[in-house]
Amino acid sequence: MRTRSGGRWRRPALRAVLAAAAAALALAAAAAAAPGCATVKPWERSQLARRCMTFGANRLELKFAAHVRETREGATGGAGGYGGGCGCN
Amino acid sequence: MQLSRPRLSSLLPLALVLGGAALVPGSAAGADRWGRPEFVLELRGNYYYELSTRVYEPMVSLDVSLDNPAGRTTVGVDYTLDAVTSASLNFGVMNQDQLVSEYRNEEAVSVSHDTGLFAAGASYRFSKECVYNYLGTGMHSCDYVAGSGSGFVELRLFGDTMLLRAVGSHGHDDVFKRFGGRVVDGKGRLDTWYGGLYWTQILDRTTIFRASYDLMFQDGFQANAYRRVNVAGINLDERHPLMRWRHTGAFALKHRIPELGATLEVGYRYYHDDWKITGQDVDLKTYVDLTPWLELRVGYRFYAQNAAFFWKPSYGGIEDAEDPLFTGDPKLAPFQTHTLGARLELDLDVLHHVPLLRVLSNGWLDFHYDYMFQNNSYGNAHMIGFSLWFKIDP
Repeated sequence: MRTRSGGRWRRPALRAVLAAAAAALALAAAAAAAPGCATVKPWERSQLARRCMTFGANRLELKFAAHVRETREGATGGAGGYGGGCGCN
Repeated sequence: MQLSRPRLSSLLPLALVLGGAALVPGSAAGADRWGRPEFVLELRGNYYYELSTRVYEPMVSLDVSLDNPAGRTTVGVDYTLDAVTSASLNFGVMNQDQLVSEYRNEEAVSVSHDTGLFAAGASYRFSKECVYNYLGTGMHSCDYVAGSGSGFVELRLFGDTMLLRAVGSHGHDDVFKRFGGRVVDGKGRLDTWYGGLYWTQILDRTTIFRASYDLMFQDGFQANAYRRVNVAGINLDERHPLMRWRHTGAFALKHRIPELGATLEVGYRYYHDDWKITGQDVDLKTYVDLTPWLELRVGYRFYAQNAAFFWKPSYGGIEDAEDPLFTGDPKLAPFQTHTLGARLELDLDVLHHVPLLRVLSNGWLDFHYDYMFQNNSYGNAHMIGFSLWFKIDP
């Protein structure tokens, strides 16, 4: 069992931070390589402006879905923020 | 029992943005002068039903936006009520012939400022789970109190074809144990730190993509305050590790086919934590324009996970007496779910010429139904929801 006492927590913490840094760097590198895709002018975005093409357009529906998943699944994340705040274990 | 007050660290992002909004310089996107306020109201009702639990969840959200020389500032308030009725012993019910209803009240306030190229915001949320008039005895008790503060910054780059968003939050929860209608035990606290990076990219005139990475660290009580586990013949309170590092990577792609009046969406999420749970899900959706003002969405989601390293189907053997950790949580077991759903959305512009209802014409109404097949002890579930969203632009 990992505890806060002693030094046993440091290794998993270091691993987690390194994994987080690697993931963030990979995301940043991919984003930096992406401007080549940026050829769509504002007046060419009529299809992209539709509500169904927007991530997170239905905020309260997404909040309900994320809440159900957090209380019924071991996984979390990917919904744009931290849910929690409920004793639903 | 004294409940803790919101921590100052949770309120910090909100204070920073409230102060910073006044200092952000103007940009080309900002109006030259103050505009009139715009109001957006959303009312939503959700219902969740499974074998031993029913949840009614009304929600209301109001955002007020104001164009000003520095950009656009929005202030929002949200309220959510979770009315959960359960016969589960894990819910603090003393025997399974009794149905107990618990109410979680959640209030949130947010503020954000957008200059066109740059946006920042913060929010604070507080929730409390209570039982009122326990089984007609008049007793009232609260067993979960939570507060969290969040902040975000956003950058729009390359002619607004790329959006980068960083999110961070800290939450503090206090957990108590109820016996009958009274709180009898303070079980502990839980602190959660969360950070996320989101990258949204326009790929062409009809395709948009999003990738994200989330990291969460939780420190404190993470078991159920009521669940007991039979360990070598003795019923003991569930015991989980106190710390958890959680990683999530996800991507989603949306593609519009104008000729068919349809949009396809595919999403994938990979999750891993140091309790050795790995979860993956695939989310597929299709949106179809049935008429110019009516849209149908059909969806399917598959989710699978393996077990936490300390999970066992049973701890009843004499050799299990030495286990330092034990759980009866179905969420930590290996299982799969399949969710099928449909949603209808009506564009309320059809009301534009209807007297009295014209005020709703800048909005939409939707109804959705999902059915979830679960091969764990929760059993299959029904989810129903509807919402009304409209903008008032005086």
